[in-house]
Amino acid sequence: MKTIREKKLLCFKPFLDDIVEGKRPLRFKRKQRIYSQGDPADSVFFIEEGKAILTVVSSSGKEATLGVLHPGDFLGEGCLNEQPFRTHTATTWEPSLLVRIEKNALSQALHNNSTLAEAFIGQLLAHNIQFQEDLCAQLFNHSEKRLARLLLKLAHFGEKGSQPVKIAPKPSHEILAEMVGTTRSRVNYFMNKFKKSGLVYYDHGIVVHPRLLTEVIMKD
Amino acid sequence: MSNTTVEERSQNPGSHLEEMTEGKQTLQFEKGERIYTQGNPSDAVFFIQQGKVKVTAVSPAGKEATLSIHGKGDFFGLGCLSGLNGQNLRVNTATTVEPSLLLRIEKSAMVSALHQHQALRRSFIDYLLTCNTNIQEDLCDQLLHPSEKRLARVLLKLSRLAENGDEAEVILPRFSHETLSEMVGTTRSRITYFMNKFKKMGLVHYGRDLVVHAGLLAEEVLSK
Repeated sequence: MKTIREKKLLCFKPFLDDIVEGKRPLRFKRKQRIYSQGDPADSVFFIEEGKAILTVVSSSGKEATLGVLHPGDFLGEGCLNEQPFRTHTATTWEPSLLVRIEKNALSQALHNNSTLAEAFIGQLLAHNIQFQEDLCAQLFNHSEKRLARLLLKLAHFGEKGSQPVKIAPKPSHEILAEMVGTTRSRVNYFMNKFKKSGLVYYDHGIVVHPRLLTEVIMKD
Repeated sequence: MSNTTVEERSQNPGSHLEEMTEGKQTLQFEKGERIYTQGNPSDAVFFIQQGKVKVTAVSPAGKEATLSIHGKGDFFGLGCLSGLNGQNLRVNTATTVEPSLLLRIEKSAMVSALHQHQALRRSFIDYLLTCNTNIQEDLCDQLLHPSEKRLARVLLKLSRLAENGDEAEVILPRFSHETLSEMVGTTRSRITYFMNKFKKMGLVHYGRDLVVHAGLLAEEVLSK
């Protein structure tokens, strides 16, 4: 059985292999900047291995995380739509292998190859649904549920069945706070609460138990 | 259509929908009519030819939120098209906010049209990219900004959808403070407080409709 992510990777890989010009593979270390908010936007990245997080900074300096991307995901695709500058910052979460594709090269490939274009539409729709879910979570849920949701997302929950999953490297409470949209002290408080209930534990990373879903997120 | 070059700006997907012959139906809705409800089977997408539609969701705890407002030329109900997330049921509710003329397109008809028509495919990709940019902005707004700024942004967004959206004073239908609070993600009393404040500052005023001084609002509230 292939996981959704593996399928996703396979659905784009052959087409990207077909692009001969305007493409190059890039290795990134953990926590390396891929592009920064405000940079000119002239290329799209495709994740072959690793993870990337997208963050934004407001004019008053407040920071927030928009999402986590996995193998098989594109990032920076906004430039295909005449977006001149990056609207967010992308950073690797762990050592990653990315393919950088020039905007024009990808545009051309989407134009020439209908199967690629259809798969790309599928990914845009999936991102759209994801953003909408995040927006709902932000509007509906208090910070405890949002933290639980984020941990399951980082742990890639759902890929490996109902086993506990480790998030490594261990994210700091500060980063988690930014990602959830709350304060560090609230994250401390909830993480301790989760730990006491046996829902998470620390072991060179954060090990997340799937019960987080039933005991925190689905509870009213 | 197929000989257009990739450099040309694509048109609104609407112009390509006319070529579709099957699985398509024009529907007329009154103001405030339900188009589909959270939990309904999700088997068609909608395209707005005339009017406005709001998309809302209800949490398991019964809290309600408005996720987006769509105008002429917009799609909604696209969730059913996604193969990966394969939504078989509607995860939100769509209601008209004014009399509307909608195109209902069967999921399978839309999928095969996207498969067959290159020009539609291209304009649809552009459309989705714009959607995702907008929703990403909404999410940023929710994460980064206090409710006063969020209310100002919602008012400006509604202004852009209005008929005279590019003028200094924009006339909007009177949304209730309750509806505004659902869109902003705050309480009704906070909305009343901020709307009164905006009124005193001369940024909005009420008559039969709501008049928004879009430029001033952006200057006074958003850029601070």
